[in-house]
Amino acid sequence: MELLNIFFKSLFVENLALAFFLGMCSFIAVSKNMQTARGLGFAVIIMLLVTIPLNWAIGRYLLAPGALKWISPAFAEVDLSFLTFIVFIAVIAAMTQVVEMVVEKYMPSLHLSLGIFLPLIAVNCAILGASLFMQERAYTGLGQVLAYAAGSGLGWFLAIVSLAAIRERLRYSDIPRGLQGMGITFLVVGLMGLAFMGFMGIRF
Amino acid sequence: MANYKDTIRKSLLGSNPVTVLVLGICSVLAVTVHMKEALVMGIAVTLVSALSNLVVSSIRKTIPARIRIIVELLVVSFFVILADQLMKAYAYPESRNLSVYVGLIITNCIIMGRLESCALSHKPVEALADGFLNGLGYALVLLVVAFFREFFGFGSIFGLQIVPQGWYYAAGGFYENNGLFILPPMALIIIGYIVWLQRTLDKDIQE
Amino acid sequence: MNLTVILALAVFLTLMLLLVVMLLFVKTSVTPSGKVSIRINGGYRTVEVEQGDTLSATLVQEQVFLPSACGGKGNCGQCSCRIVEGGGDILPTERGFFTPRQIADKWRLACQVKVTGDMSIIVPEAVLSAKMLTCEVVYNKSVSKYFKEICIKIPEGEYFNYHSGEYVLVYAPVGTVNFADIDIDKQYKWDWKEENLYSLQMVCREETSRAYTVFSYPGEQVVPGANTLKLLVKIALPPKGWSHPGICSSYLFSLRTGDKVKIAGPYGEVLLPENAPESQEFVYVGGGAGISLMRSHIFTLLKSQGSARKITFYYGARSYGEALYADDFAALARKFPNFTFRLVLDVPDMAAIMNGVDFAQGYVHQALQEEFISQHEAPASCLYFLCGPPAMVKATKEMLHSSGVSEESIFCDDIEEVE
Repeated sequence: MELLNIFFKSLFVENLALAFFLGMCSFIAVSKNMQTARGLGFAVIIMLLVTIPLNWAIGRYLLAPGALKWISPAFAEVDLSFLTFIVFIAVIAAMTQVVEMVVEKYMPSLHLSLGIFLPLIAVNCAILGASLFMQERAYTGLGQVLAYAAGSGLGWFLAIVSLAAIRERLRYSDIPRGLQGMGITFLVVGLMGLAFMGFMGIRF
Repeated sequence: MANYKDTIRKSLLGSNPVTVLVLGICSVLAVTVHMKEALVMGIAVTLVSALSNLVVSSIRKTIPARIRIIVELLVVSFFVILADQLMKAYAYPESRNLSVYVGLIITNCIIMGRLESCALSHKPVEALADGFLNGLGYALVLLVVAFFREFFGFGSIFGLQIVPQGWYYAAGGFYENNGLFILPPMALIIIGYIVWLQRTLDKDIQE
Repeated sequence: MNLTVILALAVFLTLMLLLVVMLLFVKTSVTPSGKVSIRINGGYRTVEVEQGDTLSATLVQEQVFLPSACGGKGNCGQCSCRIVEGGGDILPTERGFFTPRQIADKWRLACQVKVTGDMSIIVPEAVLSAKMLTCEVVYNKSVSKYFKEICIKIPEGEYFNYHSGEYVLVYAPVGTVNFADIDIDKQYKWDWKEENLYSLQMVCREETSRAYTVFSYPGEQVVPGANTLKLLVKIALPPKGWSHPGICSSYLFSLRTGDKVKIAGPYGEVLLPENAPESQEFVYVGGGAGISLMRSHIFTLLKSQGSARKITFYYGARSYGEALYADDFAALARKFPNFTFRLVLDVPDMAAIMNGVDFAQGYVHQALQEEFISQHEAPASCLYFLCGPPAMVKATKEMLHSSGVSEESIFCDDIEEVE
């Protein structure tokens, strides 16, 4: 099934964090311990599921070349794709606020654990990057887009939680002073990336 | 901004946004395959950072607190769109290769980070300089990483073939390009080594 | 104009508009609004309030003043109350302030609870009778380099009945205090110049409240016919690792006769135990700004109540110059045979020796141990009141514990230097 393919591809082969290294700043900063890593991972999944379909619709029906022809055939020549960056980021920022408010009201315990991460996500390259990649790959139909969003989110979550697990173990290792902290983290993430490349070419 | 030399040295080394402050990592990995792309990206980020800092600093007193992030994002997006269009016009091949990552300059933590910590509390000229210098620090790291990747991965620098063609296996020689360096994870590993080197030499930034 | 440009603007603006509308819609439908009712102390009072704010802020608007030293940031734990209905679950930020038993009894920090529905709460009695008043400064004089004694007058027609040992909250308003404008008595002016204190500045960005034990004792007459309060204020200076001087202490230092100051209270902390038999001895140990509590209690016992109870006071100070009011206490000891006063100085003090003042040398808890505890037939039968710098209180408490004095017999108030 095409949908399953897209899902697993975005989860492993085209993993946002380990294949494209999107969202690195918060990925590295928040992966010091498992709890915060989980919180941020969940927040990313939610935000991707919310913003990607929305951005896809806006891209398809408003911004793509010739997209406006449903309003009037006279507009068939218009190409508003240069607005993509600014529109996508505005949508992401707005949806971050909305999700934050909804979570605070209906799931206060969830809000306590991941509330602080949500504003961080608005400026996270992973969310914007995922939307931009989605455009590049020109998925057809909402189903494919949702499969992509779910797979990408889960992939990022998996990646950050794995890194947190490794870093927690690394605390007991004998690492040279200059390499401690950021240095070894970079090397580890690089190795994780190399490992994930092993998934290339998998098809269902 | 009393001591210019010190500030410059700090932005490029001691407080290098990428290796010390660990910001702006995302794009470093994708755009450092060839030095030409790295250069174009470095220039773009420097310009966007400097100009965004200038604008945000100039209007800092009139931004309502609640929509501060949104205003910053809009300003940066504007300059990124500008940069993107300029790149498409004057450096099309590089811009094609950079693709998505040009848009991602908007969320580049260096730019947002400097806006929040510098532009909001300093005068426009100082903010401009700060944005410019941080962009340079970033560009410096980009170029260093790209150097290693392009040289070992392709045997060239800025597109100029350095390793003589005669050395390659195909021409009966002994050398072969190291394909590993072209892979994105290598960029991270190279940065890891740079960070190691920097921190071993400069005890102040060790953790 | 180019069709693309027009359409670009149109699409962009429409999208922005839609996003904003959506945000506002979600905000109003999700953020609670409308009035809810809060039942206080089992129906003693019930108030109708707006939702959305913290419980402590909401109550302040209903003239119920829960004490706070940290301004609602969840750092001091003084705004605790019981929320028997409503209020949601206790937050991690509150847990550190309560024992598991208290949490089971539904104790919460009012500054951390948001009002999102009907509630039923129980606050300490003293809070219900606490008032907010604007008083006038009668005098504000220096009693030592870093201490000032400020006397304020309760407005005509208002009652402010406090018990010995209670404290008030002083509210420092938004504004700037330049130390150059502070009035310091002649004898300490040179010290202030030497230590460059006149160059300091305090900037207060939002109204801040701090607790000060009432220094005077109930019924103490300062100005005939007027109800007054005295506070002892120690100026909190930057070198202790902060970037600016203490907010309330700077504000209080800057006040002059006739100025108005906002206070709230009284709030109970270390009060005189009601039911202690006359035969039970009271032992006071303290120093620094803790002197307020000592003075209030001791003067009430001896002067107001005419108590015949045996009272001992061990006063610890770094030097004679810093032992405020030591002479007053010594005089009191001469007048009342049941009151023993012992001054304990860290180092042999020339000024004290020259003035013929009798003092013990060393740390106050050591002097207490050597002179009092070891000589007493039943130290565990006394009640001990400790009030002073945290280190002093801690050392004294440990010494008392190891001498067999139980927790119930010790009342503590450690004066933490808060910014």
